[in-house]
Amino acid sequence: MAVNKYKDHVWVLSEDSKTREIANGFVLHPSINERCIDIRPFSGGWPKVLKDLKKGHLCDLRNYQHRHLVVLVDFDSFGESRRDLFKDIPKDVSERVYVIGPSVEVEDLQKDIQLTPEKIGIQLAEACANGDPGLWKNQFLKHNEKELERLIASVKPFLFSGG
Amino acid sequence: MLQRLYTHNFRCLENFEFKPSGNSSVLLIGKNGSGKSTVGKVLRIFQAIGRGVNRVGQLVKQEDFSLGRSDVPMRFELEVQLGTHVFSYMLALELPERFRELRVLEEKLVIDGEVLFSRAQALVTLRRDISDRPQAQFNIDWHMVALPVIQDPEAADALGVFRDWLAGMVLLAPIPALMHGDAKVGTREPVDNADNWADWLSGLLDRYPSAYAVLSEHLKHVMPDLGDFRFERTGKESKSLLVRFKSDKGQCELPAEVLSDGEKCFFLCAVVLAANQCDGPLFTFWDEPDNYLSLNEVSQFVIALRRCFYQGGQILMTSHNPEAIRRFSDDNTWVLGRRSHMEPSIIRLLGDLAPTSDLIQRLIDGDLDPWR
Repeated sequence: MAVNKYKDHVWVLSEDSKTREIANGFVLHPSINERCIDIRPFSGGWPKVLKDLKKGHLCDLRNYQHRHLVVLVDFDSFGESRRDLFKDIPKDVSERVYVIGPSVEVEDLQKDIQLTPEKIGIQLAEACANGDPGLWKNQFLKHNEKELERLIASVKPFLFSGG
Repeated sequence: MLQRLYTHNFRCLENFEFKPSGNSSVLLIGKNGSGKSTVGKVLRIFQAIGRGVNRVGQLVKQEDFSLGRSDVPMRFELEVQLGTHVFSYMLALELPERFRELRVLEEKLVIDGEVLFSRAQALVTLRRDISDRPQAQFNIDWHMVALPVIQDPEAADALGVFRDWLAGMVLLAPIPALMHGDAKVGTREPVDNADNWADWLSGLLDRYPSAYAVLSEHLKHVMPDLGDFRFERTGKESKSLLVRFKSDKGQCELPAEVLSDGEKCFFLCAVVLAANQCDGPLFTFWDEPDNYLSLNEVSQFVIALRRCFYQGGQILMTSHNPEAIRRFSDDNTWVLGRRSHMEPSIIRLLGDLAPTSDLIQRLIDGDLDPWR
């Protein structure tokens, strides 16, 4: 059964197939409550993610107060300015939107740690479950620290078993 | 875990090699007629051998030769890692002139690089570890496969492990209309159309009563009004599965056979999950598990299977469903295809093909071919 929209849940918007594969791996981790997370079809580039977010998802966030939206994008070496683009949204929903991704492209991250995107996703979930930085402290991921803290504080209680 | 499957001259599979590379879950995609289900048919031959079918004529027919080419041997090879051991089994079949039934040309089982037994037509040679004993040789009917019948005390454990693994392969292409809820004998050997799924469930619960918790947890996610389920005795050696649903308006108990096709697949999925968890690890091949499911169920259904097998065992699935396909990735999706009925199937890892921005659209366009 699809996620229950009237209970706490996470929707994942991904930029492309690689970021979606990271999400696919994330939900394979045994500690994840897979019934609380849904990975949406990828948008096809960060501008389309932004467009999809502003066009439809903001409205849905207002309609579904238990929804948390995780936006997975490559930062393409643009640093926080990429994240800021997604933060230009109304305050009543912005606290339930989280923008996460490698500071470069997923392919660069893959080369750095020699893992497939799915395995990266599994390791990121493992780190979240254990409450340690794990792979999140990688040079291409550590810039997510504050956003990750905010995300974990909001979703860990329902997304992770024993959370 | 399946490491390698090789088939030659069987239906659309010629010089066909598939290496799942240690992936716990694998997806096979491709157009109709590309050979996905034929991979399942090859696995079914190995499964039948493991379950004791040794008459070649009951495993393959003359019509199974690729393009009717009966002058070339049909070859099946399987390599699996079980625990710390690697088993390699090879069976080659031929159809000499004036024969009506295929016969064994070669057969060999190798464990960790050492030949346990080998065979050329009727002559079987058993390895002997003890140097003062000669190799044992004997003849066997050349229309019989040797693996199910070999009784070698020196290799009984290894033979047993491999034969049990073959027999325990779960190969599914369920037909819900045939899935009744009557159980007679508990079994560990579900058949491909799943018409004995109630026997499988019954056998699982008899051996592992704790499997009920796994089954119930999964089913309550997909059918929130499920109360419980139980077998009721209907005769001396038969029982029937009853499923109770309840809500604040009341409750009702229904025979399992009146469940919808999709709900029967929920049950079957739950049995697969529970069997893998309690009686596994299993090797499973499920041909189009998304059949009969509503669109909102497909994603969670596939994820549930992938997650379960990530923790042990291995599952191969085929699918045409975009929601199912999106739950897999470039390194665990294999693309099958063939240019025409006169040419063999080709298989390539999706990640080895030219990068594609939108896999689903390319599939819709019929534009994803493994030779490109």
